Amino acid sequence: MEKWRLIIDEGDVYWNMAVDEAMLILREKNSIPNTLRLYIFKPSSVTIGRFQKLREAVNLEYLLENKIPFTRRITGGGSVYHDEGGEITYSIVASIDSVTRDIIESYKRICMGIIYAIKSFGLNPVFKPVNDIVVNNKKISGNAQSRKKNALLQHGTLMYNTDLDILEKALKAPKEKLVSHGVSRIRDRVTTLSIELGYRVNKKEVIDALITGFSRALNIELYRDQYSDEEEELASKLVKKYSSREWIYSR
Amino acid sequence: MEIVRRVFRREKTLTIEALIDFKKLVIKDITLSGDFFAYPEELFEELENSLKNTECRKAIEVLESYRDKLMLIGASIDDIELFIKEECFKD
Repeated sequence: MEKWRLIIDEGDVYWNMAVDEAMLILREKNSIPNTLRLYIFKPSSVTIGRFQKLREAVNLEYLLENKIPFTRRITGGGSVYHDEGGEITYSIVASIDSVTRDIIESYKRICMGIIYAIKSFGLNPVFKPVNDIVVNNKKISGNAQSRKKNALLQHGTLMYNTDLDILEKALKAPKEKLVSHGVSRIRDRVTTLSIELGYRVNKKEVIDALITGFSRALNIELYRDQYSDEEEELASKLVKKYSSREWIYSR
Repeated sequence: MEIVRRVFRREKTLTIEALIDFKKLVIKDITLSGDFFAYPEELFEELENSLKNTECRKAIEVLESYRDKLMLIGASIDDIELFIKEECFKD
């Protein structure tokens, strides 16, 4: 069974996105091993997709008024509210060949880790290609992938107790998207583990379920580790990019 | 000059906004935004830049040259082409 590194940490939105990109760059150079990272955004934050227009993806006035930090990801996809006390984010950084070259299939293969984690709570999640996982037809996890020639980064969310009132105020969705999902509000389209189960799920349970889920989905053995000096150094440099107006307001 | 905007919805949303010089049939500026995925991402940004300050007919050729090397998920190059054809050459 292949051994992958497991890193569990927390940080602000700029650090978190900087670490993910640093790991992708260093995995491409073969400087780090395949890695599963589980992390929390502290404080709660918003990320938007690489190609989104900031003002169309978030309620900018609300974020500024409420001092909710935000940045742009290197991955495509939509805007995400990362609740410090209600959402775990994962990132997988691996050689493409250790997952699969087929992009659509690789999304599914990695998302199976989340599916198994949700199933362990007794729920019935469904993978909705290309990047969503739903429970009772409501989104509980969104995922996004970026690739270099030989390495991939896929990061995504699992909402276990996200404050959906804040999520709805912080994010915007184009009306065309809501119509296509048959809803009129973002809130009607999303759910959490706690809502579905009817009791408050805690962070540790979710982390444990994700570790077991990804181990099974990817047929890997995880060992706890820390970032290398090279990773910390590169991530520290990339923090400047993710906190810069030039990057965040580029669209 | 006129700003034109259209939203295309496939699995994801692609919003195209362009500033078009209808006298010269030139796309002066264009942005392609949304929650879609593009691989490789840098190539998508290169395509977007290549369409700026470009004659409409040339823009369609540029698009064609990206079909084999750029993969869009949730959006389509067909929609960008349709936008240029319908907006540039509308009477």
